[in-house]
Amino acid sequence: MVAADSASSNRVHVVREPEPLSGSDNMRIDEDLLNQASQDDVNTLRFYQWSEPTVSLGYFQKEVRPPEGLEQLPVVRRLSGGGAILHDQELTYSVSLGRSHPCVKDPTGIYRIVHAAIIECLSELDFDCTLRGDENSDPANKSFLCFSRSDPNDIVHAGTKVVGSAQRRRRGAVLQHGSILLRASEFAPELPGVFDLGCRETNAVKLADKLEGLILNQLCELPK
Amino acid sequence: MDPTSLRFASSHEWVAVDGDTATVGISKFAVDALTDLVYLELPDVGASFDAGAIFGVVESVKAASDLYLPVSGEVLEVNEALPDDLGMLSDEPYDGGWIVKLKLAKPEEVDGLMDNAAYTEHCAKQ
Repeated sequence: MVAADSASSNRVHVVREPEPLSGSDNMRIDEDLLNQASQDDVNTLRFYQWSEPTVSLGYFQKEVRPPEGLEQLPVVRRLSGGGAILHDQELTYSVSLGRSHPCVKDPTGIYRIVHAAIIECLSELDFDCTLRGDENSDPANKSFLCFSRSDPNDIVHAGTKVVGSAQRRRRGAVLQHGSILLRASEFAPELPGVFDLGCRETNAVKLADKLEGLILNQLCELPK
Repeated sequence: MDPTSLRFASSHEWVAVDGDTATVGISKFAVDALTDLVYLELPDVGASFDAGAIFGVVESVKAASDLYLPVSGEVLEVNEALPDDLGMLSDEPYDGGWIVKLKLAKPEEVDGLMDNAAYTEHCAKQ
């Protein structure tokens, strides 16, 4: 599927993985999409899930070992920064934008743009959430898990982080991927997801359907 | 170092040449744009790179960004103190914030880089 306005630089391809994939496949596909964005100036929005509980390490966590309780899970290293993520009961998105897309001029703004779409989606499903904001964040917190850290661009519900994203920037292109926690994992029961916390939609595919339209609206309707 | 004596790549790395050795860093403009750097990955001494190759990675605001070598060469020395003192990149981008020193493989590549005036103009268009 391709969504576009009249400006080709805003055209965004959509990839919906029909089945959950392994961590290594998911990260390889995201890297391929980043390289495609970098080399061919192609923009892609992708939604995917994970075939087994998997820990992804942030790019700079290569010498970090997962804590007790997570050490038996498969581990992959992300291209992006930030803390580790336990990918289990979640919906994951990735956005890869080439150098001609208007958003890449302000890569940090891509967090706000995509997260605004996610907040709009969840709010329409009677789930109250917002950006954490500077005043409630603690950049010095370097907990192992990303969802135990606090960043101004996190999406939170009553102070509980439910969405976090990170980026890789390469040759003028940007990959941003992020996790929407759906339910608490048995491996991290202290981190509830949006389905646990009252979101009206409790089907991941339907949630992705709704998110797809709202994120595309944000990415395709920007002025050049 | 005086920025007017440096050469710059469009991807915002700078090069200072002394004989067949080049010192490479990233410009003040790039450091300011990246904001709040938290990690830096350096290459191995002895590694060889072609011009345009990725030679390092920095992280800021949960974004890992590649660094590109503007000229070809072999890494002679890396600024080992820098990953633990990333403030040097913004405080002294053209002195204490240097990243690698190279033995130039193709010194003529330096001629293809921008001088400070051209680079300043390049940044103004960003």
